[in-house]
Amino acid sequence: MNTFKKLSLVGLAVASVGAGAQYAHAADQTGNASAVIQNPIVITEDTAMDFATIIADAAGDTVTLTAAGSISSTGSSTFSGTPAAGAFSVTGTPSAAVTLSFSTGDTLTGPGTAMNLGTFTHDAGGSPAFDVGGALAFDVGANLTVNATQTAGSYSGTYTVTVDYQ
Amino acid sequence: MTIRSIIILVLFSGFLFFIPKALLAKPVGSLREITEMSFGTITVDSSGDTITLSPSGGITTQGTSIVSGTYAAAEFTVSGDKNTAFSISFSSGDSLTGPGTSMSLGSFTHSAGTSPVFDNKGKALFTVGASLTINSPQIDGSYSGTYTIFVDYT
Repeated sequence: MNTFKKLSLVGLAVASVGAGAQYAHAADQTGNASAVIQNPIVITEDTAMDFATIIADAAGDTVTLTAAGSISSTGSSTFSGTPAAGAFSVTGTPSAAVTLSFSTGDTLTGPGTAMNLGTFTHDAGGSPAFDVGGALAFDVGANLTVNATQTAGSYSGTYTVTVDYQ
Repeated sequence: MTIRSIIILVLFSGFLFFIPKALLAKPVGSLREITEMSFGTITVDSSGDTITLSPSGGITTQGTSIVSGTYAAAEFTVSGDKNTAFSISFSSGDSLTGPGTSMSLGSFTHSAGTSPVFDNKGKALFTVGASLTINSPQIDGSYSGTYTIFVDYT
Protein backbone atom coordinates (compact mmCIF):
# COMPACT_ATOMS: atom_id res chain seq x y z
CA MET A 1 0.00 0.00 0.00
CA ASN A 2 2.82 2.42 0.95
CA THR A 3 4.71 1.77 -2.30
CA PHE A 4 1.56 2.34 -4.35
CA LYS A 5 1.01 5.76 -2.72
CA LYS A 6 4.63 6.78 -3.38
CA LEU A 7 4.44 5.70 -7.01
CA SER A 8 1.19 7.58 -7.62
CA LEU A 9 2.63 10.73 -6.06
CA VAL A 10 5.72 10.51 -8.28
CA GLY A 11 3.49 9.92 -11.30
CA LEU A 12 1.39 13.01 -10.49
CA ALA A 13 4.46 15.15 -9.85
CA VAL A 14 6.04 14.22 -13.19
CA ALA A 15 2.77 14.78 -15.06
CA SER A 16 2.23 18.22 -13.53
CA VAL A 17 5.77 19.29 -14.41
CA GLY A 18 5.11 18.07 -17.97
CA ALA A 19 1.80 19.95 -18.30
CA GLY A 20 3.25 23.19 -16.92
CA ALA A 21 6.20 23.46 -19.35
CA GLN A 22 5.99 26.38 -21.83
CA TYR A 23 9.74 27.08 -22.13
CA ALA A 24 10.73 30.10 -24.30
CA HIS A 25 14.16 28.63 -25.29
CA ALA A 26 15.41 32.10 -26.19
CA ALA A 27 18.96 32.70 -27.33
CA ASP A 28 21.04 35.86 -27.12
CA GLN A 29 24.41 36.85 -28.60
CA THR A 30 26.79 39.80 -28.51
CA GLY A 31 27.27 41.71 -31.74
CA ASN A 32 30.37 43.82 -32.41
CA ALA A 33 30.42 47.19 -34.19
CA SER A 34 33.20 49.58 -35.15
CA ALA A 35 33.94 52.83 -36.94
CA VAL A 36 36.99 54.94 -37.75
CA ILE A 37 36.55 58.70 -37.37
CA GLN A 38 38.55 61.19 -39.39
CA ASN A 39 38.19 64.96 -39.32
CA PRO A 40 38.58 66.58 -42.74
CA ILE A 41 40.81 69.58 -43.17
CA VAL A 42 38.79 72.40 -44.67
CA ILE A 43 40.71 75.47 -45.89
CA THR A 44 39.05 78.78 -46.73
CA GLU A 45 40.82 81.79 -48.26
CA ASP A 46 39.59 84.83 -46.38
CA THR A 47 41.77 87.47 -48.12
CA ALA A 48 43.41 87.24 -51.54
CA MET A 49 47.11 88.13 -51.62
CA ASP A 50 47.51 91.57 -53.14
CA PHE A 51 50.74 93.38 -54.09
CA ALA A 52 48.62 96.50 -54.80
CA THR A 53 50.34 99.02 -57.12
CA ILE A 54 54.02 98.60 -57.99
CA ILE A 55 55.69 101.51 -59.77
CA ALA A 56 58.28 99.21 -61.19
CA ASP A 57 62.03 99.61 -61.45
CA ALA A 58 62.64 99.50 -65.24
CA ALA A 59 65.53 97.08 -64.68
CA GLY A 60 63.18 94.58 -63.08
CA ASP A 61 62.85 93.83 -59.36
CA THR A 62 62.03 91.21 -56.73
CA VAL A 63 59.15 92.45 -54.59
CA THR A 64 58.59 90.86 -51.19
CA LEU A 65 55.22 90.88 -49.47
CA THR A 66 55.52 89.58 -45.90
CA ALA A 67 52.89 87.53 -44.07
CA ALA A 68 52.38 90.66 -41.97
CA GLY A 69 51.38 92.56 -45.12
CA SER A 70 54.37 94.88 -45.50
CA ILE A 71 55.94 95.33 -48.93
CA SER A 72 59.53 96.05 -50.01
CA SER A 73 61.93 95.24 -52.87
CA THR A 74 65.59 94.81 -53.61
CA GLY A 75 65.58 97.41 -56.41
CA SER A 76 64.09 100.87 -56.75
CA SER A 77 60.40 100.05 -57.28
CA THR A 78 57.97 102.13 -55.22
CA PHE A 79 54.58 101.13 -53.93
CA SER A 80 51.12 102.58 -53.47
CA GLY A 81 47.69 101.35 -52.54
CA THR A 82 47.07 98.80 -49.82
CA PRO A 83 49.00 95.54 -50.11
CA ALA A 84 47.58 92.53 -48.29
CA ALA A 85 48.97 89.15 -47.30
CA GLY A 86 46.84 86.13 -48.22
CA ALA A 87 44.72 85.04 -45.22
CA PHE A 88 43.38 81.54 -44.63
CA SER A 89 41.22 79.87 -41.99
CA VAL A 90 41.33 76.11 -41.58
CA THR A 91 39.36 73.54 -39.56
CA GLY A 92 40.38 70.01 -38.61
CA THR A 93 41.06 67.67 -35.72
CA PRO A 94 41.37 69.61 -32.46
CA SER A 95 44.99 70.01 -31.26
CA ALA A 96 46.42 68.05 -34.22
CA ALA A 97 49.79 69.16 -35.61
CA VAL A 98 49.88 70.00 -39.31
CA THR A 99 52.34 70.86 -42.04
CA LEU A 100 51.84 73.75 -44.45
CA SER A 101 53.22 73.60 -47.98
CA PHE A 102 52.85 75.61 -51.18
CA SER A 103 52.82 75.02 -54.89
CA THR A 104 55.73 75.98 -57.14
CA GLY A 105 55.88 77.45 -60.62
CA ASP A 106 53.05 79.92 -60.11
CA THR A 107 52.85 83.20 -61.99
CA LEU A 108 50.78 86.34 -62.31
CA THR A 109 49.66 86.88 -65.88
CA GLY A 110 48.38 90.01 -67.61
CA PRO A 111 49.20 92.41 -70.44
CA GLY A 112 52.94 91.69 -70.35
CA THR A 113 55.35 88.86 -69.58
CA ALA A 114 54.21 86.54 -66.78
CA MET A 115 55.77 87.34 -63.41
CA ASN A 116 56.97 84.46 -61.21
CA LEU A 117 55.27 84.17 -57.81
CA GLY A 118 57.02 82.05 -55.19
CA THR A 119 59.11 81.78 -52.02
CA PHE A 120 55.96 81.67 -49.92
CA THR A 121 56.13 82.49 -46.22
CA HIS A 122 53.51 82.15 -43.47
CA ASP A 123 52.99 83.20 -39.86
CA ALA A 124 51.65 79.87 -38.46
CA GLY A 125 55.00 79.33 -36.74
CA GLY A 126 57.39 76.39 -36.62
CA SER A 127 54.84 73.91 -35.21
CA PRO A 128 51.46 74.79 -36.65
CA ALA A 129 48.51 72.97 -35.09
CA PHE A 130 44.76 73.22 -34.75
CA ASP A 131 43.61 74.77 -31.49
CA VAL A 132 41.37 72.92 -29.02
CA GLY A 133 38.37 73.93 -31.08
CA GLY A 134 39.92 72.52 -34.26
CA ALA A 135 40.67 75.93 -35.84
CA LEU A 136 43.83 77.40 -37.37
CA ALA A 137 44.29 80.76 -39.11
CA PHE A 138 47.40 82.04 -40.84
CA ASP A 139 48.61 84.64 -43.33
CA VAL A 140 50.78 84.09 -46.40
CA GLY A 141 53.41 86.28 -48.06
CA ALA A 142 55.45 85.72 -51.22
CA ASN A 143 58.02 87.11 -53.63
CA LEU A 144 56.97 88.52 -57.01
CA THR A 145 59.59 88.79 -59.77
CA VAL A 146 58.92 91.87 -61.88
CA ASN A 147 60.59 91.67 -65.31
CA ALA A 148 62.56 94.47 -66.88
CA THR A 149 60.25 96.98 -68.59
CA GLN A 150 57.23 95.10 -67.31
CA THR A 151 54.16 96.24 -69.27
CA ALA A 152 51.78 98.29 -67.11
CA GLY A 153 48.37 96.86 -66.24
CA SER A 154 46.57 94.39 -63.99
CA TYR A 155 48.10 90.98 -63.39
CA SER A 156 46.59 88.07 -61.47
CA GLY A 157 47.19 84.40 -60.82
CA THR A 158 46.76 81.57 -58.34
CA TYR A 159 48.81 79.39 -56.00
CA THR A 160 47.96 76.39 -53.85
CA VAL A 161 48.40 76.06 -50.12
CA THR A 162 48.26 72.51 -48.68
CA VAL A 163 47.57 71.74 -45.03
CA ASP A 164 48.18 68.15 -43.98
CA TYR A 165 48.11 66.19 -40.74
CA GLN A 166 51.65 65.36 -39.62
CA MET B 1 0.97 -7.42 -7.42
CA THR B 2 -0.74 -7.46 -10.82
CA ILE B 3 -3.08 -4.57 -9.90
CA ARG B 4 -0.09 -2.48 -8.77
CA SER B 5 1.66 -3.11 -12.09
CA ILE B 6 -1.42 -2.05 -14.07
CA ILE B 7 -1.75 1.18 -12.03
CA ILE B 8 1.93 1.99 -12.62
CA LEU B 9 1.51 1.40 -16.37
CA VAL B 10 -1.57 3.67 -16.50
CA LEU B 11 0.22 6.43 -14.56
CA PHE B 12 3.24 6.41 -16.91
CA SER B 13 1.18 6.30 -20.11
CA GLY B 14 -0.87 9.24 -18.76
CA PHE B 15 2.34 11.14 -18.25
CA LEU B 16 3.38 10.50 -21.88
CA PHE B 17 0.08 11.86 -23.17
CA PHE B 18 0.54 15.06 -21.19
CA ILE B 19 3.94 16.12 -22.61
CA PRO B 20 3.25 19.46 -24.38
CA LYS B 21 4.85 20.27 -27.74
CA ALA B 22 7.20 22.84 -26.17
CA LEU B 23 9.17 20.21 -24.24
CA LEU B 24 9.84 18.34 -27.46
CA ALA B 25 10.60 21.56 -29.46
CA LYS B 26 14.20 22.30 -30.42
CA PRO B 27 15.50 25.26 -28.39
CA VAL B 28 16.57 28.40 -30.27
CA GLY B 29 20.28 27.90 -30.53
CA SER B 30 23.50 28.43 -32.44
CA LEU B 31 22.89 32.19 -32.60
CA ARG B 32 26.17 33.23 -34.20
CA GLU B 33 27.60 36.46 -35.56
CA ILE B 34 29.00 35.68 -39.02
CA THR B 35 29.91 39.27 -40.01
CA GLU B 36 30.60 42.16 -37.65
CA MET B 37 28.87 45.49 -38.15
CA SER B 38 31.23 48.17 -39.44
CA PHE B 39 30.67 51.80 -40.36
CA GLY B 40 33.96 52.05 -42.30
CA THR B 41 35.91 55.33 -42.18
CA ILE B 42 33.78 58.40 -41.60
CA THR B 43 35.23 61.79 -42.54
CA VAL B 44 32.95 63.74 -40.26
CA ASP B 45 30.69 66.73 -40.71
CA SER B 46 32.01 69.19 -38.08
CA SER B 47 28.49 69.82 -36.76
CA GLY B 48 27.91 66.14 -35.96
CA ASP B 49 25.89 63.60 -37.94
CA THR B 50 23.77 60.45 -37.88
CA ILE B 51 25.08 57.59 -40.01
CA THR B 52 22.59 54.84 -40.88
CA LEU B 53 23.72 51.39 -42.00
CA SER B 54 20.87 49.39 -43.52
CA PRO B 55 20.56 45.58 -43.32
CA SER B 56 21.23 45.49 -47.06
CA GLY B 57 24.64 47.06 -46.37
CA GLY B 58 23.84 50.49 -47.77
CA ILE B 59 24.98 53.52 -45.78
CA THR B 60 23.50 57.03 -45.60
CA THR B 61 24.35 60.20 -43.70
CA GLN B 62 21.99 62.87 -42.47
CA GLY B 63 24.65 65.62 -42.77
CA THR B 64 27.72 66.05 -44.92
CA SER B 65 29.96 63.31 -43.51
CA ILE B 66 31.62 61.07 -46.10
CA VAL B 67 31.87 57.31 -45.55
CA SER B 68 34.72 55.40 -47.19
CA GLY B 69 36.56 52.14 -46.74
CA THR B 70 34.78 48.89 -46.01
CA TYR B 71 31.44 49.15 -44.23
CA ALA B 72 29.10 46.22 -43.65
CA ALA B 73 25.85 45.23 -42.00
CA ALA B 74 26.17 42.53 -39.34
CA GLU B 75 25.15 39.00 -40.28
CA PHE B 76 23.80 36.34 -37.93
CA THR B 77 22.68 32.72 -38.25
CA VAL B 78 20.38 30.99 -35.81
CA SER B 79 18.70 27.59 -35.59
CA GLY B 80 15.35 26.52 -34.20
CA ASP B 81 12.18 24.59 -34.96
CA LYS B 82 11.60 24.27 -38.69
CA ASN B 83 8.90 26.50 -40.19
CA THR B 84 8.35 28.14 -36.80
CA ALA B 85 7.97 31.87 -36.21
CA PHE B 86 10.55 33.72 -34.13
CA SER B 87 11.21 37.29 -33.01
CA ILE B 88 14.38 39.36 -33.03
CA SER B 89 15.05 42.14 -30.53
CA PHE B 90 18.02 44.23 -29.48
CA SER B 91 19.60 45.87 -26.46
CA SER B 92 19.39 49.64 -25.95
CA GLY B 93 21.86 52.20 -24.66
CA ASP B 94 24.81 50.81 -26.60
CA SER B 95 27.68 52.95 -27.82
CA LEU B 96 31.03 52.90 -29.62
CA THR B 97 33.90 54.07 -27.45
CA GLY B 98 37.35 55.29 -28.42
CA PRO B 99 39.63 58.33 -28.19
CA GLY B 100 36.77 60.84 -27.95
CA THR B 101 33.20 61.11 -26.73
CA SER B 102 31.31 57.84 -27.04
CA MET B 103 28.90 57.61 -29.95
CA SER B 104 25.40 56.19 -29.45
CA LEU B 105 24.58 53.06 -31.42
CA GLY B 106 20.91 52.20 -31.79
CA SER B 107 17.79 52.02 -33.93
CA PHE B 108 18.66 48.46 -34.95
CA THR B 109 16.99 47.03 -38.07
CA HIS B 110 17.15 43.55 -39.59
CA SER B 111 16.44 41.75 -42.87
CA ALA B 112 14.24 38.94 -41.48
CA GLY B 113 11.01 40.86 -42.20
CA THR B 114 7.93 41.47 -40.07
CA SER B 115 7.30 37.73 -39.50
CA PRO B 116 10.62 35.88 -39.29
CA VAL B 117 10.35 32.10 -39.68
CA PHE B 118 12.94 29.33 -39.51
CA ASP B 119 13.25 27.57 -42.86
CA ASN B 120 12.32 23.94 -43.47
CA LYS B 121 15.75 22.92 -42.21
CA GLY B 122 15.30 24.93 -38.99
CA LYS B 123 17.78 27.63 -39.99
CA ALA B 124 17.58 31.39 -40.40
CA LEU B 125 20.15 33.86 -41.71
CA PHE B 126 19.65 37.60 -41.49
CA THR B 127 21.54 40.88 -41.53
CA VAL B 128 21.41 43.74 -39.01
CA GLY B 129 21.80 47.48 -39.50
CA ALA B 130 21.86 50.40 -37.04
CA SER B 131 22.34 54.15 -36.66
CA LEU B 132 25.47 55.78 -35.23
CA THR B 133 25.34 59.28 -33.72
CA ILE B 134 28.49 61.34 -34.27
CA ASN B 135 29.18 64.16 -31.84
CA SER B 136 30.52 67.67 -32.54
CA PRO B 137 33.47 67.58 -32.30
CA GLN B 138 34.39 63.91 -32.62
CA ILE B 139 38.07 63.12 -32.06
CA ASP B 140 39.83 61.09 -34.77
CA GLY B 141 40.54 57.43 -34.21
CA SER B 142 39.14 53.92 -33.94
CA TYR B 143 35.95 53.35 -32.01
CA SER B 144 34.30 50.03 -31.17
CA GLY B 145 31.51 48.62 -29.04
CA THR B 146 28.98 45.84 -28.61
CA TYR B 147 25.21 45.29 -28.56
CA THR B 148 23.07 42.27 -27.74
CA ILE B 149 20.69 40.49 -30.08
CA PHE B 150 17.87 38.28 -28.71
CA VAL B 151 16.05 35.61 -30.72
CA ASP B 152 12.97 33.93 -29.27
CA TYR B 153 9.97 31.91 -30.43
CA THR B 154 6.92 34.14 -30.67
